[in-house]
Amino acid sequence: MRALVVDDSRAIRSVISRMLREMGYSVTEAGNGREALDQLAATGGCPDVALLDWNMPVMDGFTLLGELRKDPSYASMRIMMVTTETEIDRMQAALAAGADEYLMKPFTPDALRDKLGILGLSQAA
Amino acid sequence: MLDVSSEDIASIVHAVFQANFELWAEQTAPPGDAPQSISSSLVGIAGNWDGAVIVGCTPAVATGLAATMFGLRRDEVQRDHIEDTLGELANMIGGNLKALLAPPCTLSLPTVVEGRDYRVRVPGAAIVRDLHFDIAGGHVRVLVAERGSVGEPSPRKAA
Amino acid sequence: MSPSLDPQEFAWLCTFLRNESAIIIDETKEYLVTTRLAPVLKELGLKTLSELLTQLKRRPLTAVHQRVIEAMTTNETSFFRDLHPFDTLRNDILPELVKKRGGAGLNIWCAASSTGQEPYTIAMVLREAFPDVAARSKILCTDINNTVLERTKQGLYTQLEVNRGLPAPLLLKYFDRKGQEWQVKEELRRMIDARVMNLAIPWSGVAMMDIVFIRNVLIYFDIETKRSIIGRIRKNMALDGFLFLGGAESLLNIDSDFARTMAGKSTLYKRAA
Repeated sequence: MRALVVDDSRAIRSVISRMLREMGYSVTEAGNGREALDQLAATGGCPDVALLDWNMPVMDGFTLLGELRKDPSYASMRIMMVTTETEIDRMQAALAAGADEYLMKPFTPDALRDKLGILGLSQAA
Repeated sequence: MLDVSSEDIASIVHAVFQANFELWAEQTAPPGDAPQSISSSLVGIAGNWDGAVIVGCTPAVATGLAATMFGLRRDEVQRDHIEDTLGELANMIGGNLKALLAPPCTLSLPTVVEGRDYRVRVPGAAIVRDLHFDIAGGHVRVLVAERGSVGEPSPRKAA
Repeated sequence: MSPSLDPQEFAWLCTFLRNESAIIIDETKEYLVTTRLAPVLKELGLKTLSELLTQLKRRPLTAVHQRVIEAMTTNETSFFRDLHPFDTLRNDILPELVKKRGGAGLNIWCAASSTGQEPYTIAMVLREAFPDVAARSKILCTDINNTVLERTKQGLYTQLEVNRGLPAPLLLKYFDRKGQEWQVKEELRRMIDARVMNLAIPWSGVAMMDIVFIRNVLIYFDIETKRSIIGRIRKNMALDGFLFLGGAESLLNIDSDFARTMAGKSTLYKRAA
């Protein structure tokens, strides 16, 4: 299984990626929405899950979410927002725009595993 | 006026250190003599409330936190690892503080700041909350700076 | 961290916990004692576990004894813990029982319900699948620890707690933000009936149950106490009711009047015909 981790914080990318690799995922990282789209176009295919921060330079995660949901080649991608934006209206907006899950920062490793479990992605066999 | 208490901020700080590092943040009185050096990061909040959250910590703590985040040994930690880790801490604390403010407010991207005289870095702002914590034997300080009044032109964005 | 106990002190603490709460702690669980009691030491301003033991040896029992028992009996929990039991509840158990009962309210019991994530998970599953039945149903939450039951009644959870296992659409649908915390909406809270109960002691006044959840609880008791608890639960269950245990638990050698059955990915128990 493939995962895409998009966050401008290298620290958070490192935490999430390590956890996903331990679960058996192959992981690619990007530091903003634009970089993520360019990488997807260059590598081809569709990751099983994308974890998106909201506030990022160049292109934020909410815009990226909209771009991904517009493109039918990413229809099967499950998308989880992982963000410090914890207001209800933000969550509603993200789910309405096609996010499948929403994890609030700060989060524990267990919480990330739980959320992947909800999406049926807890085992990356 | 900032409608978020020191207790609320302390509780956010507790959650951030517990979730990310499994560390207990013990709130303390300000240390008698100011720490020799400190690394800090800042996020700005703009909108209905205008100000900034600044997170500072002593080098040994900062190194330990970065080592945990990046999965490195302490002696492998570089300056940019520390800057990134502190930036994310300010982002998490600032973001959760923002959720307690009357909307609409937006959060800036984090910036690393140098020095202890934060007023230089947040023009026109006064420190309205100042919290100290003992974390893993080191010192962590969380400051909230508030700009004069809503609608006053901001000389510059925080980031 | 406070220095650990010497073997004699540890044995005394195990006996104390066993006598007062029927909980079994053995030397393999010493870490549990250290991690659970560290916050208690802090609250009481004590430095070592030995100092705490000196207080515990005093009689009569005080708030300190109560606090130690609470700290040792609080179960770690999360919303939708282990996922499968709640899929089975939604897809198999609830449809069957709702049909059999003709839409009447169900009686559900969460034994050792801790801070309430499991009963509220059940409440959400029931409410999503059968809203009318949910409105007529009761979920009995029992625990030896009154503090966790008070929290359950309030339905207040921290952000770290609602992050654990709770699907975002359900968070938005069934919770209100209260400052930094999240509160379960009244429509679910009124399904909850919370009661202090020590399972090791016979109870009374409990309605006949359609579904019982007693997950990861029996491990704390010795075999005789397990038999006694399960036997009394069985007598308190409808003939066609269902019993859920923890994923790694079974009733082998404990109760032969329950029959094991599979539904979805879960193993559960029915009263033997």
